[in-house]
Amino acid sequence: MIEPRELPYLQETPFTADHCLKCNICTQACPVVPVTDLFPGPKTVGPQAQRFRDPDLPSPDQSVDYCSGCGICTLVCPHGVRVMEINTQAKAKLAEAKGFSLRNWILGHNAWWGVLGTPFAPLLNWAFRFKPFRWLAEKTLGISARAAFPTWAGYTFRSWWRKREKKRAQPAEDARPVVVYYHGCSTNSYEPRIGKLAVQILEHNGFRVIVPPQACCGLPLQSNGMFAEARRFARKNTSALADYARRGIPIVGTAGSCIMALKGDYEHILGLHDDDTRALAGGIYDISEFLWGLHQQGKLKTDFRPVSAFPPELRALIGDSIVPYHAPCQLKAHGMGRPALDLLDLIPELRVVEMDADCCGIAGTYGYKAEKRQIAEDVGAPLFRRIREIGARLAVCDTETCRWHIAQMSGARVVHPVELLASAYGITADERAMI
Amino acid sequence: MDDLLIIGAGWAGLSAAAFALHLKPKAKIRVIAQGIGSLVVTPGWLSLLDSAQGEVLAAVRDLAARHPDHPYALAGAEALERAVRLFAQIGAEIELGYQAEPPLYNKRVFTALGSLQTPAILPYGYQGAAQAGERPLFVGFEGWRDYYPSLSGEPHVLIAPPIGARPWDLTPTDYARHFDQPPFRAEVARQVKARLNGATSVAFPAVLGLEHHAETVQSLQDRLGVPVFELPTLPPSVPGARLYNKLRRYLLDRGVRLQIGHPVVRGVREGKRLAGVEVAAAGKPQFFGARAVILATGNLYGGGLFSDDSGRVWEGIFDLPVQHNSDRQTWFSARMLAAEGHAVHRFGIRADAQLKPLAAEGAPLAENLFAAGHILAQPSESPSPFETAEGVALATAYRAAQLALTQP
Amino acid sequence: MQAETTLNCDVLVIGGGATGAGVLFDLAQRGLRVILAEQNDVATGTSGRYHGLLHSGGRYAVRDPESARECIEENWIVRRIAPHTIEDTGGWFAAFPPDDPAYIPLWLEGCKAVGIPTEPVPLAQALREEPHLNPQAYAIYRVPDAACDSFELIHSLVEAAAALGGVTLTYHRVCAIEKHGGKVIGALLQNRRTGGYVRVHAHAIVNAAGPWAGEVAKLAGADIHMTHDRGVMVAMNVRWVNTIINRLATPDDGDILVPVGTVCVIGTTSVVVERPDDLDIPAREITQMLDAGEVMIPNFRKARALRAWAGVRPLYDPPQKRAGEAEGGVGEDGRFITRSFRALSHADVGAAGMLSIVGGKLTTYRQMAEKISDEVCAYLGVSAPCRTAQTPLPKPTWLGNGGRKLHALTHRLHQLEHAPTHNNLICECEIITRDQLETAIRASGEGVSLDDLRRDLRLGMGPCQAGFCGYRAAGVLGETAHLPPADSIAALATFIEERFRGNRPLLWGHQLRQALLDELIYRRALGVPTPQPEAHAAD
Repeated sequence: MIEPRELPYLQETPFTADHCLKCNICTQACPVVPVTDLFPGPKTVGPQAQRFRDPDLPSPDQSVDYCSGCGICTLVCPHGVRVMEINTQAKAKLAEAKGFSLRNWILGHNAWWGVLGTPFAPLLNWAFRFKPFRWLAEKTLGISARAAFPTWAGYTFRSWWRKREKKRAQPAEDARPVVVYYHGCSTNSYEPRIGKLAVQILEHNGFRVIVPPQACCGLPLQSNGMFAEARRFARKNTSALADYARRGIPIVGTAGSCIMALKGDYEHILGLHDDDTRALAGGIYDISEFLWGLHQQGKLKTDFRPVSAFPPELRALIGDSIVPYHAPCQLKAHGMGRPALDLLDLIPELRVVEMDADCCGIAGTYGYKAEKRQIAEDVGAPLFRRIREIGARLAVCDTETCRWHIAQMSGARVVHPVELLASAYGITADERAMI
Repeated sequence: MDDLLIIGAGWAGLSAAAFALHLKPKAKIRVIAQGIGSLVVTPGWLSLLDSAQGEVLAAVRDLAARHPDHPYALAGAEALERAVRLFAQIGAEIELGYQAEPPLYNKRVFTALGSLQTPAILPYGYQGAAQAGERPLFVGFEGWRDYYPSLSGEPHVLIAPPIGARPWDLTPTDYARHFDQPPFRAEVARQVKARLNGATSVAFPAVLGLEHHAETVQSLQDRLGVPVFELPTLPPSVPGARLYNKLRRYLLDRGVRLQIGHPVVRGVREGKRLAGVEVAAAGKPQFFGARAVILATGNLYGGGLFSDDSGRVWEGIFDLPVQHNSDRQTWFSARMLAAEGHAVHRFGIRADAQLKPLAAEGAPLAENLFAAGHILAQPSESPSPFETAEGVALATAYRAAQLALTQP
Repeated sequence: MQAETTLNCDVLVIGGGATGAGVLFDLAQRGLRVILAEQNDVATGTSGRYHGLLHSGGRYAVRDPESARECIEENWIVRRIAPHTIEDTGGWFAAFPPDDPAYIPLWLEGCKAVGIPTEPVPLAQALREEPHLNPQAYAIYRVPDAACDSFELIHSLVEAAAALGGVTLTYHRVCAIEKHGGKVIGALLQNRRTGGYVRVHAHAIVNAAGPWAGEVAKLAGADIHMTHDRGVMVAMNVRWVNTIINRLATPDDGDILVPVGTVCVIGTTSVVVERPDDLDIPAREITQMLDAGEVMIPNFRKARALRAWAGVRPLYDPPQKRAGEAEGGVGEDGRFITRSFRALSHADVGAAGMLSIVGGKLTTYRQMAEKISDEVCAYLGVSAPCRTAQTPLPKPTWLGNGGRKLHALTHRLHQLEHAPTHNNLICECEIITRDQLETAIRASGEGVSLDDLRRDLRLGMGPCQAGFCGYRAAGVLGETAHLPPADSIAALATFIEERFRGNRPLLWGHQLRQALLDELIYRRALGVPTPQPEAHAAD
């Protein structure tokens, strides 16, 4: 249920349906429409249906469930209709009316599985590669057997961080400016390496990094219609982090979609309009956004080594090719431009080109659902094709599920921008080690 | 800091970016727009001066001479010709047609109602209308809500293309994606061929391919043995979408930053210059610095101008004064289809001969701010802005890009 | 002038609004042969141009108790006999800071006197129920107002009458009233679509022509002193409230807000005009409505204004006033004239058997019909009693089960999702399929216009105002009715202009952008030819 309004309706998502001119630019741009007959398009299930929705009743149109939530509709709308946000809210009501889905509950609680699974990493990593297990999971739960699952690192970013902090002598006077690192669930359990690199990049630029307690952003819950629980996570984050923002301490993250949840979704989808939410939204940065901001102020260290001085493995992957960059949908929703691309342009000998494909298809947990798996693969097909045509063996993308999906579908290795920045700075982090 | 920041991604904004690339290939260019612009709702052809009887560029020069306030006049005599030549060059590179070798004469194209329009420069799809002949056959698709060939008054047939069992209405773009597939084209051609019945040409709604347009038109012509041409549809316009998609890739491949989604909400001044603009982004405003800025946000439709019930009309980013009637009752003629059009079409900002928007006191607002496209006011008594729609966008975009790139 | 057809009946009813349709049904139920003649489609005059409010009577409780009493009596009856036309939103009377608190005790007393139940609503509860309401409201009372769909009501009446032999002739205008020996004996009608004539022999004539009642009476040589009081209403594209909101103050401009389906309607102004068809909508009156809306709902004008229309209230303004009644001069506020109704006989001009019913409100249509039917029966010597207060009306069936029901917001979505085929959504705003359109075209017969279809289906009444569905509907009309292309295109052009007429006063902000997009479609993509000016059919 939508919580009681704290702001006039006018500033809320459903009201923006009023701005729709029916031009269908959103339908035209929607990446899901061309690949499935099950989804009539963002305008149909969005502003068009919205006029007929009773705020107190679930919407009877089930087709909205096939919206992947990529948000391209919202971006391309010239009139300011928050199409995706309207659809996400309608999906949540639909989910509520349909009742409990074990599959969606599992996918929504990714935060727990990451941490709970860590001690059993070898077993789980084996199981997720074990085809009969995946087949069973698809048949019983509806979780696609084809989807790329991450591997548990076997330790968490937080445990690495705690150990590192303990080991290091704390200088009595530390005058360095402070940043808060928001790691997100995936970095914590599956890709601690990204967190390790991010911390070092920030430190290299003269910051003292702190990692206060924080929660899952709630996005997987939100996308699966579990708004009440997503709001609980949101509240945890806003109360844990808003004060830093108020004190002018930047909160920097490496998970593009999670950051977007904190920046915009809490307000526009979950309907939280309180001061903490606003303060946090204004004080949180994607890491590339933050670093590019430093560069614009002349404060970014640009002691980048050229690609020819990169570690051999990475150098080999890059070869003579241009490096395709896919700006994930959730990252475009930030409205901050393409700071990752701008930063990577600073690295000598690196030629990065933005791909024109809108969406890779995975859309968070969407492509993990058996009935939507084919859609997720087909949506991304033009992107995968283009990467193969270019002949690139390395690609760059800012968000985790997109990276895993593009890697699986295109065959290229797909890295977070911090991987290339770290290499350019000469920063390394051992993939598996706790240190 | 960018060399050039363009606000707006319609005809004027995107072509300004493309022109700027040609004028200065190393320039750092950024386009910021709230949503996709006018391309996807316009027919995709270039109207330079639809009523021109003789050579179009000469007629435009004549128009500019008669109306010194007209955007064509502000852009200067050479701008349109250079713009359309460059556009044609890009059009060839992205395989959409748009030939524009002077002398230019207006072409005849058909609409779905069988009316004639007379734009000057056409993408491939519309070109065949010139060879329509005595007996064009208007082909529609059974059960499609967006096109009724019977209204054309010409011989017509409905065919049943193999679209599968999609339970929802197909948009023009959906059909266009089907036409990208060779087997689909072959089946359409087979059905039409069986019912040609002596037709001298075949008209389809403008859905002949999205990614593979030229190939689609060619293969249909080859199979049918007569010229094939398109008729504009209700939005979204596939010819516009083709151009948008191809231009997007063209720009991205050349390093242009294309930011569609969040509106620019204000300019940041630094003395007599703009330091950059601020975007209403998620969480907090984002600043983008630039040496020069082109304002190409469009008119009241495009989203550059706003209006309210009290009769106020304003420009949304820099609060530039807008030339308009303050009595709201005079904005529109009594009838929607009135031959004389509506006063509201001509509302816009004023600019000097360098296309610099004028502030309230009559001087340019900033030395490095330029305007292009339909945000510029058009003088009353001049031809309807519909007649010159793309021409004005391209000519002013070219001139603005040219001037903006000479900024220190 | 040669009549092409001759019809016989007991009573000819002139006017296809709620009153005329009510008389048609009432008399048919009493066993009489009745014909109703309407110059346009039914429900196109004042009855189709109101805000959709079934009055509790609260609005008239202080100044016009007679009218208030009629309203509350009929309110209960209409809810009982035509529940399918009612959305029981309930209504509030709310006082806001500019309103005079001294009015409240007078109003409560007035309501009590005529039997309108009132119940105070605490502000906190009111804001829970209606979060958009201006929180500065200082007194709120609940009354039994409701939203009433007049199209549905009138179609119900026409169908119920048809089942009893009552005939409805739409697009038939009365050209002459024929008298013989001091009595009326019939009338000559012209079919406005075919141009042919119909002679109707009747023993009595009921003039229920609303604002045209004066013109019709003139045909019989009678002079009725009518005042034409124009009210402007504006539909906003946001259903701001789910409860009807009235200002708890002396009736004034824009003090009623009625939720109707997907929109809400604010009304009205009150300006005395000369002609019954003066439906101009000055920009000033729109601004007045929006200003008034802001008092009840802050930010009211930020929603898109979707449609403005004017209705002309047929107020009876006799030369001899009762106490408290004011003169209705052109350009003045007509609110001081009673909303009660009168039945007038024209025996004095040699037209015995002709009765005019004037004044009144949609809420009281049944009582008006009953009263005039009683008099007709007395004149004809028929003793059958009126039974309309006890007879439930059928749901209109002519468009299939549920085809027109709009009260349940999610209904159309549900229909679309569960239709056997989803194809062919012609009007995307109002969710109208090709099937529905074809059924309506076939049911309407020859000469049906897109505007007729609009009234039947809400075609083109959503935000895009026919920008997208106009061409599609013209195509479907052409294919279904086998029209020559030029006729379909002319129908499209006419429809575009009809839509524009109601839209033009509202063109600013997003609706202006919409109009410019629509124009782009018409002029550039389609090249719709500019139509020749012609007389407008009713809206």
